[in-house]
Amino acid sequence: MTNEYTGQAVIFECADTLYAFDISIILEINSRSRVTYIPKLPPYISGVVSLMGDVVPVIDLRRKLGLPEGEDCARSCLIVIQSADDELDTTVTAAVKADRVITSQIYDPNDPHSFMKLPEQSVIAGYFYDDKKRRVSFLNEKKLLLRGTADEYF
Amino acid sequence: MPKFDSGMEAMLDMFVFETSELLESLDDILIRTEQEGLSSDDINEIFRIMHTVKGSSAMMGLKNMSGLAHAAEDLFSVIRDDPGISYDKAELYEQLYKASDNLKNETADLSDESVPLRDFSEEIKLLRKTAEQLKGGFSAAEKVSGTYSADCEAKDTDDSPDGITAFRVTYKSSCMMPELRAMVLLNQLKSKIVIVSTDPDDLDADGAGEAISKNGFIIRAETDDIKAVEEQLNSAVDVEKAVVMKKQAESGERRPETKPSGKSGSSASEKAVDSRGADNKTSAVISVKLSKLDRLMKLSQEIVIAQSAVLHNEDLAPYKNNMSHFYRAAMELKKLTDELQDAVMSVRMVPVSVTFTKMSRIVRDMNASLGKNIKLIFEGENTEVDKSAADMLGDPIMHLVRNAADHGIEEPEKRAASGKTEPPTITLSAANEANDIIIKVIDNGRGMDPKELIAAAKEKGILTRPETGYTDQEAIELIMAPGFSTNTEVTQYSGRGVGMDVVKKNLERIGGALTVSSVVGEGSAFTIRVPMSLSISDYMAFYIGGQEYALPVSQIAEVISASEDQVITTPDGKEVLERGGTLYRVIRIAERLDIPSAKEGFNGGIFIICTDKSGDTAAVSVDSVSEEMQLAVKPFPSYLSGFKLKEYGLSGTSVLGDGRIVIILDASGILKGGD
Repeated sequence: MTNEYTGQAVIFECADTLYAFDISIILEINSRSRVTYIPKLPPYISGVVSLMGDVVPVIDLRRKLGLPEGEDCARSCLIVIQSADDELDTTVTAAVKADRVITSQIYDPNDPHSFMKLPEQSVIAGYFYDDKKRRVSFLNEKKLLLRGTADEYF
Repeated sequence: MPKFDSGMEAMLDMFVFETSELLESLDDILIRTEQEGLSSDDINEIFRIMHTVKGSSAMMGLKNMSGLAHAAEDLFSVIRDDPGISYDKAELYEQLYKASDNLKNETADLSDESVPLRDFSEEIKLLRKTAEQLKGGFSAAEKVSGTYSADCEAKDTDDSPDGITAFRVTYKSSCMMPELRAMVLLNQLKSKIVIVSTDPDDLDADGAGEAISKNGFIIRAETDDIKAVEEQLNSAVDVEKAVVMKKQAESGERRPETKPSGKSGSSASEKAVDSRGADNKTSAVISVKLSKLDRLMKLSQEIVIAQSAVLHNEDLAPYKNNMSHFYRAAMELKKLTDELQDAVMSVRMVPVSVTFTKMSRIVRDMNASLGKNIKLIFEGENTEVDKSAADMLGDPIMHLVRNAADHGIEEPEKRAASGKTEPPTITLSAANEANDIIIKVIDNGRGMDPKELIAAAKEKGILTRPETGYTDQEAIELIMAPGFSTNTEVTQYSGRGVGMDVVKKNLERIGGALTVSSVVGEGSAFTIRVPMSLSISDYMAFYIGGQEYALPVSQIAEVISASEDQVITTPDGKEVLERGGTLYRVIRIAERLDIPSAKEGFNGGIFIICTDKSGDTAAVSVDSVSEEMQLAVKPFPSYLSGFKLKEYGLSGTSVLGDGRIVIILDASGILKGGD
């Protein structure tokens, strides 16, 4: 390895697009939990799930990013992530709804040839290509968890 | 490199805990006696506190702390010996408060290695000077030395019977309070060997330390492996050398008297009473790590969940009608787990007065420097809150009290000028409401002027709307906006860079809220509302739109079934339900909460008559009733705390044994939302 820093990205699909999180923020990938709807929340929070007795909010990625609505399917799953919550200065555990998890892959955020960085304020930190040369949007989980709607970012 | 002696890491938590408790009770005594005067009990208690702090900090190797405590102890020994002595009370208290603060700060910073140990030699000198002045010349050292008689002079031989070996442990001359080192050493040894006797035998006695420095500490013990014990002794902290003593040839000679003699009878009996009192204390109260209690609480919750998974197990369904014995046993089990829950919860509960009384000191200090003569009033201080909540409430309350004293209450002249005759007060009140603890900090000071706040906010550039777009209440709430509290005039107490926005944020982080109300000229009230970390009680569950919700049974007056035509629509479009001669307003909860898949109209025909604390009552329409159950309720995750769920009467969640989540409602939120 010539690079000092590389990460492993977990690639998943949502609304026919590939997204990725860094593996270090993922606590678990869960396909069993039933989401409980909670009234009076913004549309991008689908509700809560119980993970080992802890109640965790569920973020609907489609709605958060303004993507077309979709049906849950057999391979739908929840990617449970843990991230710093800058607004409350604490850590937050949240589940992100994905259509299916595809694979994981090494990436190098500091290599300008393989990783195209976007400006800091974007919810997409950058893009890279997977083994099959498909474009993957690498998500900035902190921005994703900000309590606002998609139009604040695009 | 830790600040305290190596080998003491395990003691750190205990030391910090005990010392903080002691210093807090010291503050309590000082505040109480500052006006009234010291009784001999108080003097003894202060002496005892300082003595203990001195001892334990010396044990940790914290010379600065033990030196300071020692000086304060000596000062009080003078007052104790001559209760009629006259002294400058204000000056004495100032020194004591300062010593207490110094010790507290030092204790708090103990595990923070970036803060160096403080040097208290100035303070010590001052205390010593005061003691000297009181005594009129005697030096403190003179008094304590020489109390030990000559009959325990150094001997190289020992007359212990066979099988018992005597060790002499000599401590380095730099070792402070060798009697405490000896005590620690004994405790370490106890698990390995049988200790027959020691010399001196009473390590608590006055003068034991001097005896040890003079003659060494002699331990007589039964052991097979003399070498190992000797090695262990030699490796102990501050030990200069430890040797095995030779057996004495003549068996006829009696063992030297080990009791410290030369002490007056009265003080010896006093000591005995003292240690008995201490024994009682230790057997009645133990201190336990909070993490252990947390585990206990978690386990007891899991038991309730597991129990309900067993009792409501679907495999039992076919036998449901033929299980009277099972249900009787289940009832018994439920009773016991209920009791277990209560017991575990009560262990963690502390009266909020623990947090409140700390504020007395702050107000006292602020009175001294601001000259406002504010009276601090407690209400509901016996309200019990979870220990973790009590700890966590300390900072926000302190901030609010400081703010109230600093900015809320007017200067005496201004107060008089505005025609106020009542004394300035800050009221701290506590109460339970639904699953929340409500703490109010109310002052009867100048109040906040919405116009001034808007002007100030405009200046700071934090207005998000035109000036005229704010209601008075919204203007007052600007005080909690980020960036508002960057005070230009930083006073000693508030404006330390921590603004109201931080207080608010910290409360929201744990699912709480901070609200404010204020009337110009009459004062301000800040209300902290935090969810109890967990509470278990009885709930009635029902369905709305296919999802289970629950209300506390205590908020439900009645559950009734009524048909559509029993609901009367008043001319102004309000719906009411008549029941037994009483009219209830109808709340269609599914509409109120925008629950998408809920049934239209009153198909369910079920109404829950619920009442909030103020006595307001309404009929809430739901789809169907599920069952009554015992739930352990948790607040919503902090991520959701910004969404004002509480205002709609959504108060938390509960996870059932099978993983289902029930949403917990609160009647006061539901009823208020209807106005």
